[in-house]
Amino acid sequence: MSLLPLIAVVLPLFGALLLLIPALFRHARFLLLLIAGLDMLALLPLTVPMERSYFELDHFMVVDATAQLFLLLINALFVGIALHMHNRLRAAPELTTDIHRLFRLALVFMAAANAAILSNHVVVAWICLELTALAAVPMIHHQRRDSATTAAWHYFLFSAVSLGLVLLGVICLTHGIELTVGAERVSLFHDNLRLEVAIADPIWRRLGLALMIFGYASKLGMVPLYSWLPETYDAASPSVTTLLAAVQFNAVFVGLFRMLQVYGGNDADLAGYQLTALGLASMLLATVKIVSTNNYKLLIAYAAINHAGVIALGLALGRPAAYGVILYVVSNALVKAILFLTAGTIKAHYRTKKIDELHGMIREMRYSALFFLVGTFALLGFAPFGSFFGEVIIMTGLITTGHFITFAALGVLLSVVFVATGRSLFPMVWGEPREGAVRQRESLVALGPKIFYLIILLSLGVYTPAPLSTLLQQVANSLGTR
Amino acid sequence: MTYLLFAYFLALTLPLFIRSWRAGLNGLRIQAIAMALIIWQHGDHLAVTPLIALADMVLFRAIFAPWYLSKMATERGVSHHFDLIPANLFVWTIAAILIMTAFGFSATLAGEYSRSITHLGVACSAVLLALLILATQRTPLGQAMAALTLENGVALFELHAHHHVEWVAQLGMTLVYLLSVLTMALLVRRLGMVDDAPEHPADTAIL
Repeated sequence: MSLLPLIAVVLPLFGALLLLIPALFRHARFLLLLIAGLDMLALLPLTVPMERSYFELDHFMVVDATAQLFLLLINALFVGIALHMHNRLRAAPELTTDIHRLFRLALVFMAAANAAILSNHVVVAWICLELTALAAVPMIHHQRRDSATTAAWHYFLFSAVSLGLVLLGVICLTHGIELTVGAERVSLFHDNLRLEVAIADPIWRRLGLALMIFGYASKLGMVPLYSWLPETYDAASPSVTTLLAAVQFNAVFVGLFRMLQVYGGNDADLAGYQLTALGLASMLLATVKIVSTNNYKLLIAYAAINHAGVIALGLALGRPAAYGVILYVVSNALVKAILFLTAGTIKAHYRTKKIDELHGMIREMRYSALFFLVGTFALLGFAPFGSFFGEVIIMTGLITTGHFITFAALGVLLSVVFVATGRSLFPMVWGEPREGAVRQRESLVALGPKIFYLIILLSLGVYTPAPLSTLLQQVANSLGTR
Repeated sequence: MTYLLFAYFLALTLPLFIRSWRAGLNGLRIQAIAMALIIWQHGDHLAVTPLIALADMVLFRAIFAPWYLSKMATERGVSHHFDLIPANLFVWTIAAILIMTAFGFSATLAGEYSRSITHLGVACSAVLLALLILATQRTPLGQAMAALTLENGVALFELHAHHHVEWVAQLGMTLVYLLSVLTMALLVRRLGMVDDAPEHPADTAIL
């Protein structure tokens, strides 16, 4: 088997090591771009659907459809984030102080996220997710403001608790298997777990599943352990927020998804009830917050919680909504990247995050305003974006499986979010600009990744190329048996 | 093994009633030593995975983490009068209820394997009490101790299983624990040891 995907782990680590050399500090932003670009280039062969295969690392790493799709996604997002950072540093050289540290951490973060997605071992995947969280903490408080340090501390605590619960769930599952097949025959590799789960002690197995779902859901920002998410997304710089919202979110999602793959149809009732409850509660909370906030970055953060809720509802249905969930997750990552990066550009220009202080952005920052507008449309699930079709498939799944109350609740909550978000964000774009406003020149380098994300978003809705469509279908087919 | 679990349980619960952060850190130390002795008693500590776990317990959980936090607390001149949970009958009652719930739950879980009840009961108590401390604490030092109590609780839970993870995974878990302590120390130092920092949103991040 080709070791090519391992480059996704090795190359960022190599880049992080290079950034220990003082002579390279002043070239840090070019190095980050180079590593991100090379990483993406190396992963391009993964666009072609392939057979499930393993690295020669004692089967610790696997390349299956899930790994292919999410590796491509998060590394494409990372290229955009690297370009955004590069552009911001070019525009504001005063930000370069200690920037090599941030970039070093970002590269370690990416290596860990890639390793988490490639991992075929439950505990190794957990370790990699922990490493992403530990790399993210210093990135969040990189600018050393009190609020960012507090946010980093809360992020760390919530991360420790949620991932602690995931590990506890793994231990429970292990013990359940141990009771039936004996300690010496237990294997925590995903492939073997699929077979072992079916014969595990049901009480321990169900407890393990409940703890893992709760832990992963908390790490995705769902209630009740959600409060870290808006605080962290608001306090961190936009590029770090995008890393958390688009990259780490997907690495954690893969952890949850793989667990549901491992459980197959076992305990689908428990997973269904738990995910539905967590999903609806998260959506309800996010809706209330979206209605009441006057901060556009917080609004996008609460929209992220809302989306996590929709994803949970889709996962609760299993196979009938699986394709919709995958489509929604991929679209969601791209939408969040577009919105958070654009929010960073807007914040850098206007120096405010208050919605009611911004009007007529289209006259001052034409392209950023347009991306904000289009991103908001995609966020709200307008056609023809992929998020629209994802939502439609999930809602169809709810109807066909007879979950009418959940369908009604989802419809009501999405409608309220639709009105509240539109009411808040659209006046920022239109309306009278501030006095003396001059149209800003916007760099093509900064717009490039957003244009690329937008093309993928549209392509997911209008025309999905055959290899990508096959990949999405393969991932969807790997979920559950219902 | 029961007396070791009893020692763990005392090290977990007594600091809740003693008004001193030193008691909390010493409690963590004793918990780690008790877990190290449990690994030793299992008799397979010459295998690679238990050996790494043993080193983790002794070097990092029993010595390094409490010493590091204690050093910072001393440097910062944190008052000796420090409550891990609010010192009132209401919170103590909640703690007692959590412990009873933990043992009741473990009795259900253990089923016919009655020898497991004590082990699971103590481990569940550790996890639940850690969450109680986290929910009631406002100081970074106290929250850090809660996080370490949770880590110890999960580790004790893990010792209940006889299956050993691959040594690479065990090494990774030890690394995660060490990095967590270092990250915790970095943040606790910046936040100050006693008062939580203001909870206002950021307003200048633009990178």
